[in-house]
Amino acid sequence: MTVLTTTGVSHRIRTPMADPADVARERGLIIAAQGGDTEAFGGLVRTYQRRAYAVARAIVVTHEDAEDAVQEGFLHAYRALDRFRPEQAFGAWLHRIVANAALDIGRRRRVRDADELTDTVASPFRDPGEADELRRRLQAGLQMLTERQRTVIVLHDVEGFRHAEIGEMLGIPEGTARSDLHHARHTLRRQLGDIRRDT
Amino acid sequence: MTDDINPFDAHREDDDATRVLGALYAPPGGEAYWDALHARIMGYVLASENGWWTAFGSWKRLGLAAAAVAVVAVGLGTRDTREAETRASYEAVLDDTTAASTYERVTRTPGLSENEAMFRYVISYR
Repeated sequence: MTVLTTTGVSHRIRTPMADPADVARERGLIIAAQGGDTEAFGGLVRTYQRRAYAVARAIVVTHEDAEDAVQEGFLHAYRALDRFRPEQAFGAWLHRIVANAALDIGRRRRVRDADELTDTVASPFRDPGEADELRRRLQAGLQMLTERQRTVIVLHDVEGFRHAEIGEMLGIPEGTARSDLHHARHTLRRQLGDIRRDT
Repeated sequence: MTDDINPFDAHREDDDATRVLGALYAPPGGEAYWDALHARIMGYVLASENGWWTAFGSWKRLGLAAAAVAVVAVGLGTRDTREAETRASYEAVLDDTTAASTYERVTRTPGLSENEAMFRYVISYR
């Protein structure tokens, strides 16, 4: 697992469970949580909250909405624990739930803030004041993308999810995720291509 | 083939774009942030599932103890007040120094004539 940094260094976080001991520990936590042990569920939250945040953050526009989506997602997961089957991958199951919560928040936000959407999309980041030229161009490029294309490129290129995982999370075919990524990269390259030629 | 970025080659990841995207979408750093988010999530889950009071589980015992102390304190206070009132009532009766009660006490003293009793009453009057 690579730790996230704020310096722009690659920060992909792979699925937390890799070690067999971790898998066994996770299994124990799931069984205990299914039996009503909230401390065990807290252990699952601690293990997966960073990855869940990354999924939500790729889908919604703001950091605050991402936090809300993570919170909602974990609540839904808690309520649905008895329907979780042991042969499933807990991470994939949870990410799908968090992605749904984030998509739902995004839909509600669009309905509520329809008039302010343009402004919100124009500054989706926590530190817009620090934008350099590359960042400004990228931001402009992101506005040219559909929400799904933006989500897909962040989930794939930044967070390191595979097309199949993205498709499952967003409820779209793997081929559609692939196509979205292609279009998103193409658009961003065009934006950044200008600056590369200028410098 | 060179390493130059072809703006139309969307099959490759663009390192520059990925680097900037990574910086833009990075979560807040620091363990304190994740501890706080964890606490927020668990508080929300417990409050939504079992009622808001369960989110304050760690405070429950302390709250019950404080409530018990408060009840005992109020009980003791009430008892003290009652005892004080009772004591004051008795003392009021025993220390009755009104003119009428003094005259009655003096005139009922055995062996005193009415004049002598009147004299004592006048002397005792303050």
